[in-house]
Amino acid sequence: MSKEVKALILCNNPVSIPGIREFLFYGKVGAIAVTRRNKEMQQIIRSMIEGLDVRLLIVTRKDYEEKLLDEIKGNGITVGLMMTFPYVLTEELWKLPSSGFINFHYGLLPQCRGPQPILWHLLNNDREAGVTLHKVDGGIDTGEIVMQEKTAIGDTDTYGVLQSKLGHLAAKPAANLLKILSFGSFVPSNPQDESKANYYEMPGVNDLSINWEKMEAWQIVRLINACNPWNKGAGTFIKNWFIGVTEAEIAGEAPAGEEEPGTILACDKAQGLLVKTMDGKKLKINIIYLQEGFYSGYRIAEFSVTPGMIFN
Amino acid sequence: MLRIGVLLPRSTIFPSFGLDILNGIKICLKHYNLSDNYKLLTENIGFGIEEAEVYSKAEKLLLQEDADIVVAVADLNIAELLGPLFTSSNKLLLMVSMGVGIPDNWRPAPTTIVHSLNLSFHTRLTGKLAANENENKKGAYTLSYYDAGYRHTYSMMNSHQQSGGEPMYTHVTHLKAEEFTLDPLEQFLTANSDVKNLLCLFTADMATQFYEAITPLQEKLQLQLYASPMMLEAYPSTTPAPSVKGYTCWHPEINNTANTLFIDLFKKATNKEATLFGVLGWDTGLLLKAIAEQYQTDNTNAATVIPALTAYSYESPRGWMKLDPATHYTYSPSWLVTMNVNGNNKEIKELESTESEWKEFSSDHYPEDSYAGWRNTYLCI
Repeated sequence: MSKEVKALILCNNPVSIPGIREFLFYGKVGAIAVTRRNKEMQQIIRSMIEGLDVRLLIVTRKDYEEKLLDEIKGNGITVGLMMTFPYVLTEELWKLPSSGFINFHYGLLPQCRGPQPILWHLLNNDREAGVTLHKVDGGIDTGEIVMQEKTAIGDTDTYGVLQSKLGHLAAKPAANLLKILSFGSFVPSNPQDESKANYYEMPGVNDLSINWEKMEAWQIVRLINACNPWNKGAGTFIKNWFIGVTEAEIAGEAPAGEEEPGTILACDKAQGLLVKTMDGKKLKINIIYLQEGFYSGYRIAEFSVTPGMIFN
Repeated sequence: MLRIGVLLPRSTIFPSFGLDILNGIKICLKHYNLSDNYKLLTENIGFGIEEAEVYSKAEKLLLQEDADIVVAVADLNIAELLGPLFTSSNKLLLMVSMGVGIPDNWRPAPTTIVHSLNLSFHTRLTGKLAANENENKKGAYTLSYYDAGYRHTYSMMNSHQQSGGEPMYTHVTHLKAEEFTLDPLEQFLTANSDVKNLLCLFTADMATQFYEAITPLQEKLQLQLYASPMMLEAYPSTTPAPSVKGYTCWHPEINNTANTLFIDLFKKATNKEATLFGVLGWDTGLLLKAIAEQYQTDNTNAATVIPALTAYSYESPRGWMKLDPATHYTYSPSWLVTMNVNGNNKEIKELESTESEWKEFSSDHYPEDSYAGWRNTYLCI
């Protein structure tokens, strides 16, 4: 009753590992392609396929098309799975396997298209994130949706935590997709609602910097978490000196006063580094990133930063 | 004419399982004069274990038989697999089961309705009862090997403990009838005479064996027995029998017009007494009737039919039945059934706080790191 399924998986990020593991577990993988520059993923995939009849393809921007075409044609690949692959597929490629290519988008579609959905879910203060499996067509993240799993974004979720949650969340739809590929005569899907679609580019410096005048305390914490760990923190300036805020928490109400948002209220070991926010809260900055390294927040005092100075 | 596909499992412990459900559906639709308005297309799915078989038969019903709706009598674990097929074809999937599952998450699928007897909900209430009504919070659990593999067991044990109950001992019987024994349980309860509350989960012939063995022990050890819905269904009609209590979804003696009607029509049509499975089928018929009415008003879009169905309270043999708009699950009142020794002084009382209890239940999450469980449809072995 089951059909033969042989997948070619394209990946470039550890978030894809739980999904890959499902396909490997059922012995349905022919080959896995990783970019040449991503040594970490090459190492991870090598250890995952050790002893299995699965080929590892190391590809570059120049040769990936030729290598993938050869693999699909020469080794009976029936479906392609994109899991965080950085290169765009040509029409000849995505149409070649009998079941086409399915993209694992680690964000909700259609509302969060683009290369960094996890980050944008956090920057947009979304309450939910998710994993969307969709058919690959000519556009970026525009293909018909096969299935979607959602999860709540926790108040303290960092980028790293959310990425890990989404990676594990993808395991179940991966298993269900594999079953559909095996049992069904087609892969069912629905068009995306274009009226709800948003495309987000890679974030710029402004997107990743704290705006003390406009952002409430909880929004600053969300931004800081969105930048942790991959960007080492959210950016801010003091005395024209750029630092990263890696970890912070809201520490209650700031005392009534005329201080501007971003004013340092305390900077010592006992109280920590406390900064006033535009909604009158105390933001306790626990970890900062300087060119010299990661420091406890209050140790910024070692660089002649004192209470009363203002972040901007 | 509505084309209704039905995926039916079979059961060796309850041979009438699928037939009673099917009869319940037919009797309900016939009563409401809808016999000429639908065509049933049935497919057998074994014990509901083979996902390939269930999936391909569902696909066949949609693509080849042009079914408008598919009623899948199977446990929850198959719903996520079938979901994309029905969403993409914009057809209704009506998952029908005893309700021993608890979903990994309660997010509704756009074209899926989950309709069940919510047994996990009722065992949860029974676990809570055992903790709340006794000053002595200590309790022991006794389970059949079969029942222990479903989440209604978790539901009962977890609610007991969350309500302050202290778990002192868990006893799981052997699967084979000839190996059944309560000896380890008796030894424990004899050595720990302060443990009086015994929370029990058994089904079918395993329930019969349990009742026989526990009756003398109850008197000897002064035990208070809390029973699952399937145990209340299997309460002995002959004496001696123990005193038990527990929450359930339906009892033949629930006093309402719909129950009287259902019992009467079921008996006339099948020459059998009404069963829980028949109730499940009858209430499935109520949902199909409501869906047919939507189709008659040209609302044939599965994604808009479901919100329309949530607007009603259905007159069920269980009292009322509603479709929860937040989860797309049906739910109904919980009834506390109390049987004194030998079934005397039976009392059946509706839980007034069913709505709030349901909200609490459907907000709860099954632990993410727990995956154990039987794969077959409950009662289908």
